[in-house]
Amino acid sequence: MEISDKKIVDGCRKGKARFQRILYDRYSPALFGICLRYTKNEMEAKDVLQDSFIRIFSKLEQYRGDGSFEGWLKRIAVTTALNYLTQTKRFRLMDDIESHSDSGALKVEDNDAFSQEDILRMIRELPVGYQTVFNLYEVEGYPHQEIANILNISESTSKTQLFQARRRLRKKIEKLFDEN
Amino acid sequence: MTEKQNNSIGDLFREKLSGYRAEPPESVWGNIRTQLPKQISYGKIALYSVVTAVVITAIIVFLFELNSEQNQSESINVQSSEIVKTEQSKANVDHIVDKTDDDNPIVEISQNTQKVTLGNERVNKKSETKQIEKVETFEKQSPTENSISTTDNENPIISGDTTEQTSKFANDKLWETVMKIVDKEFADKENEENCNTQITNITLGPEKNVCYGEEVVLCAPGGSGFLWNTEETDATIVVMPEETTVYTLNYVDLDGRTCRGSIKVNVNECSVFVPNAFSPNGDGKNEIFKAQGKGMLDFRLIVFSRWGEQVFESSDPDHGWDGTFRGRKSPKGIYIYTVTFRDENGYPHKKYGSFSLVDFDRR
Repeated sequence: MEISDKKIVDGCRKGKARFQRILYDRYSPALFGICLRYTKNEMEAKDVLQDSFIRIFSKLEQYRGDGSFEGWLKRIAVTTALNYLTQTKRFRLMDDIESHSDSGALKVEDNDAFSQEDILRMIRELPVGYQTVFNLYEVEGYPHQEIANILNISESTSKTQLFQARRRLRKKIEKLFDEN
Repeated sequence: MTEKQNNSIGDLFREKLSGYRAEPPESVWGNIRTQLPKQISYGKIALYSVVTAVVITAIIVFLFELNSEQNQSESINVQSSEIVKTEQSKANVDHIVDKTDDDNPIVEISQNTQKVTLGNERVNKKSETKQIEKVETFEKQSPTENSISTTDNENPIISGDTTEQTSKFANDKLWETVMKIVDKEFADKENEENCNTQITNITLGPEKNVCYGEEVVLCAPGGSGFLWNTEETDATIVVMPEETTVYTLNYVDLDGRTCRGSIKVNVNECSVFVPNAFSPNGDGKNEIFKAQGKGMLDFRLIVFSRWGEQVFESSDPDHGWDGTFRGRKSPKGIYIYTVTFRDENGYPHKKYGSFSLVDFDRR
């Protein structure tokens, strides 16, 4: 019988080690996936994951029980990752001098041609500004306005970063596709 | 056209990454655990909060009544004294629940439900069997609980007029709030029964006995986040205690329980030395293999060959092995010994190891 999230939350709120561990076991893979997306290497991802869980356990009191618990956890992981990037001054905006010219049609028909690892690697190879905005907009689904607020940049900067991120990724994909 | 392509990039990455999962290394949990606050006792706080919440919800109901029926203003005093009564009787029930394990929390919980005047009608609407059960159980049990049944009879809230007068919305809200509290309380009790939330004390094996100046290896059981009272964090530590010492180890076992393990190492006035080689070649040096020491009682030395054959046994520390077995000289090579004895305090000691038989034939 699977223990419900509610029971886990209640157990953790009381500081019961058993439930803390269950919560960690259940959600750490998904959150680690997020941490890997926002960082450059596993070391950084581990740091962010660790901070995320410490935050989660200390903020569990604030979880109101409405909305998805996993969504709440993921949001904390994303916020922690962003904090990490800005606090360690890793977050830097990139300004591509290249023109915005189109590099041709993307001929990716078969999405299964790429593994999750390929995709993750491509994202992590992006300059950190592109990486962050792309993650927030495309994967997390945050609107530009919110991204601009969080990262303390203008909305148009957010849009440019996203545009450049997509362009770079398209190039990478085409390259990878050609190699295959 | 460009926008479409760009979106397909976004779609591709979202599809691949939105559910991306990766197993983090185990060390991360160890780090997290050490930074978490220690467990606090919520028992009394929870009880208190339930009582408070019940009183507050009751007051809310009264206010509703007051608003809808203004002519009832004179009855407020009577009613508020009822609250106090109800609370007192509840406290009594809590007391009973605390004392006896068999007297399960259902009584207490259903008391809550009843107190906020929610009838069966709404219970059915909720269609959650667990909740229905609770109320039904209460109905069966209430006649046996004197304090409760008295309250029920006297309490004007239960007479049903609230259900008619209070708006549906408010009732549903109220119901939700109360069920949250009730569920929480219920789950808490259940959790307490399901797992031992206290620190589990573990013995890390029988007491160890060493002679003064001897090292001893202490091993942790399966788990993570080890912290010895020597401030070491390895699973295995080597200690050389000056005096008899109890070593403790805080860790989280494989089931995630917080455990404190302990092991006592007795340091005794004794010493034992076993050489690691001897040469029974007749030159007058190292002719005999024997354990040297003091304070050894019930002494026993056993020597085995590499094939596990016992080649020598002695119960006298001064009587050692001359290297022969059944009248024949043993081949040179590695041999195994065990030395067991009791020290002057009666503690058993065991020491084992290997030694070399060298240069048998040189004369």
